[in-house]
Amino acid sequence: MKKAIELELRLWVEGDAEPAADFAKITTAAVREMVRTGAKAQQGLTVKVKSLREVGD
Amino acid sequence: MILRRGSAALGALAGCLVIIIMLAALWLILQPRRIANEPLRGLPPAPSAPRRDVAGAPAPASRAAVVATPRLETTPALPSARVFAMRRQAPVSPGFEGCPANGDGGDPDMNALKNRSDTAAWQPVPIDTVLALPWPATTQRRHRERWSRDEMRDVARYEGVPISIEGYLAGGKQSGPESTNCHGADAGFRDWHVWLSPMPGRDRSNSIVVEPTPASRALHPYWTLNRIGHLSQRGELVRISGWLFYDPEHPEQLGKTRGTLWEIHPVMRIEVRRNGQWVPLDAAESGR
Repeated sequence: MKKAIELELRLWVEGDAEPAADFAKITTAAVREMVRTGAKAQQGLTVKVKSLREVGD
Repeated sequence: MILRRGSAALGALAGCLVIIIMLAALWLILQPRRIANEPLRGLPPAPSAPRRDVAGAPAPASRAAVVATPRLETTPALPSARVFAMRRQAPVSPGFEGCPANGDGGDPDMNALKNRSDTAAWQPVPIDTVLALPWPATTQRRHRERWSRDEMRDVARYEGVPISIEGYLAGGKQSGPESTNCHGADAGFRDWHVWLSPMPGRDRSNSIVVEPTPASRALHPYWTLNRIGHLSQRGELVRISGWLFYDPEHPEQLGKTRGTLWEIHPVMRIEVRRNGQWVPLDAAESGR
């Protein structure tokens, strides 16, 4: 049978960057890429990022 | 003939009575709504766009609680209309520790306001006045560069006024990394969320979020989250001064962890009431 699930994930991403460098843009692009390349290693599963946004207080 | 005239007169009288009763009933029905929609005394008339009709906006019960609060102000407040009509001071935001005033992304115009570090003569405003300030609901969760001219005008009606509010702290915490502070991960680069309430206690549903920033805290080494916590626990009367600021990002918190989207941000001065005097938190704590 074909199955599907929606998962919510909360990540803490840390690294060095110039003060004015757009860290939200850099890290969201990196996480998309991680999911895209990581999904290839999971045979039989298709993984798509449906939403990805910064959590604010 | 006389009888017919008499009955016609009686009919007309009865008709008048019915109309008077209906008008009186209508007046009674409309009376509470008229009061609820009336601008606060001294406030400029509310802008025309929809505002406090947002989901999660404070329930009438919480407004009633504010109205029932004994007056807090130890300093006579100027009429609010005069305070909000003040000529605005251009924000000075030099940046902090290499982080520019606009931050590292997000809403750069909003970040520049959050990062301002200039001071002014803080104008006393009652806490219930700030809790009742309107805002255009259409601006919620939208960056300022996308606001219409009307939306900008409606927010500018109140934003950028140097105010001080008396109340009770309902706790404080360190915020997460954010674009305003260039996503600095260290504690010294994070804002604090502090809640100012009209009543002592831990209830934040009718509170105002007031935020000491990295730049403002750098000038006040005695401001610590521990001291904020102690002031909250002891239910001490405090006076918070800083810039009135509109934060459109968290309408979902209304009625839960805030009573309004208006904030004091940045907080420039914290004072506590000691022996009938306002004492800066720094002096009150360093002298212990």
